[in-house]
Amino acid sequence: MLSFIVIEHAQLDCYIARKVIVREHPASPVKFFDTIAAAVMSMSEANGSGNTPDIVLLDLMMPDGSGFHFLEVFEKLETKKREQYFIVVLTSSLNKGELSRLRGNPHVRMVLDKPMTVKKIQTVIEALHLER
Amino acid sequence: MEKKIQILYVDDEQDNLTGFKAAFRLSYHIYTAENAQAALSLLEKHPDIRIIICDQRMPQMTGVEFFEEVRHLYPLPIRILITAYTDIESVIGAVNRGQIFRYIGKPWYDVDIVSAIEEAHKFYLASSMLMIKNQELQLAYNELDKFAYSVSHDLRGPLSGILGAIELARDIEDVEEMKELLNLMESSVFKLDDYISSMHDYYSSRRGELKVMDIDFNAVCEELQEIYGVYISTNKIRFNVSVDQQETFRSDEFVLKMILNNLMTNAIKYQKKNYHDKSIGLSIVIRGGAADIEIRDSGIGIPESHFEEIFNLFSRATSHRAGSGLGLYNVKGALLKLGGHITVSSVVDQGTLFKLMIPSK
Repeated sequence: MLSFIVIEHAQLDCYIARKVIVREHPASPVKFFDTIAAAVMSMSEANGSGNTPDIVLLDLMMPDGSGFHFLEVFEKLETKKREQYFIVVLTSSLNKGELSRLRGNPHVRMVLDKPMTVKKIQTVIEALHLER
Repeated sequence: MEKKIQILYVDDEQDNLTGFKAAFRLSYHIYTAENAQAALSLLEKHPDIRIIICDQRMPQMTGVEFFEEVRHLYPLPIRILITAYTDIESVIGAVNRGQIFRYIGKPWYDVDIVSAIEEAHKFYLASSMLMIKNQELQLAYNELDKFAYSVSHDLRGPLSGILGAIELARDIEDVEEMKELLNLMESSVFKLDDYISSMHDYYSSRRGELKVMDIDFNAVCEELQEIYGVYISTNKIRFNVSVDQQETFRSDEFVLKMILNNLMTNAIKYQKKNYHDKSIGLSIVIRGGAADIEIRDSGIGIPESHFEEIFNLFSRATSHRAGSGLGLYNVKGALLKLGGHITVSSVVDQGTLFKLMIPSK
């Protein structure tokens, strides 16, 4: 069973993510966090929802820090915890330096250009299955 | 009258120093030094020295050697060497290495000195201007970098949201669902629009010259009430205005209104949702050739840790409301142009108070 975590504060982007996920995977649980702190808190406490990692859709511009800040904190989690998550960065950034830093980050599995669409969520899920 | 050009003359012979000073003190402000050390300490004390004239033959150090040293410490003043023709070889080398702007043969004539000084001064002005322009250019580049960065987030962010919404809308049949989506799209459009108009304010206030005129603050406030009246009353915000103007106040009306509009918009935008006693207070007192303006709101407030940075370009204390990070930056820039300043005090969840002082022009 797939489950999703959306770290995003723009209302419209949350709405789109929810719709797209619900359309593709109506039964999958989706959690929304509008701050990095809340997301990290929840992720470090959770014990995983089974043998498939949760898909994390991460925005770079969060009110309490950038997505890079999230990745730094994520880095400090135990390996076992980290393996419970499949991190996908979803951003409107055009900044080459920023994008290549993301692609070079070992915890980031994919970097996608906003907005989320049905097609993009399909590629995410394909990538997740390919890895397993 | 324009200030006299400041000139430093270095020569080990006291007679030459006295003679030089006597000949030119009416036209220029002359400093004299008997050796390199004295010259350096004068340069340190008087950063306005624009031209250095130095004799080549000095006991401890030649003029060329002195200039070599000065060039690294004080690159701006223009260097002129006075020398007898016997030293010509070393002088040619120095000129070619760019250490010397001109040389004057010994014995010198007043007219040669004057023409060398005038030419040197023109060169000084041109290269100082170039340096200032370079600094401005560097600043502009830095801003452009920040702007390019914010383009992807502040312009592209809302746009990509709208694009995603359109994509979704193709498959939505339900009218209520569609309305919900439209509302969300609308607020993204507002965000974009807000950003663009702040950008416009930014560039028009930066580029334009001030147009100073008599300001009637009562009229300015009436206009504010006209602009924001409907919005304020539909959102149940109390708006108290008081103006105390007994004297004329001169300033640039466009810039002044831009400042007030930005602060008013913030006071409205950052109100607490569903709070029962929303209020905005605007008080303006003109006294002693200055305007003291206070804008107080009962909004969400700003954490003290953000007080410094809210006036920076593209800085946002909160991401929970539409905003470009340009508003207060524009306010600060505009106040700088008017010669005024702004301070902020705020308590989170209780409200914010902006205090402005603007001198009359």
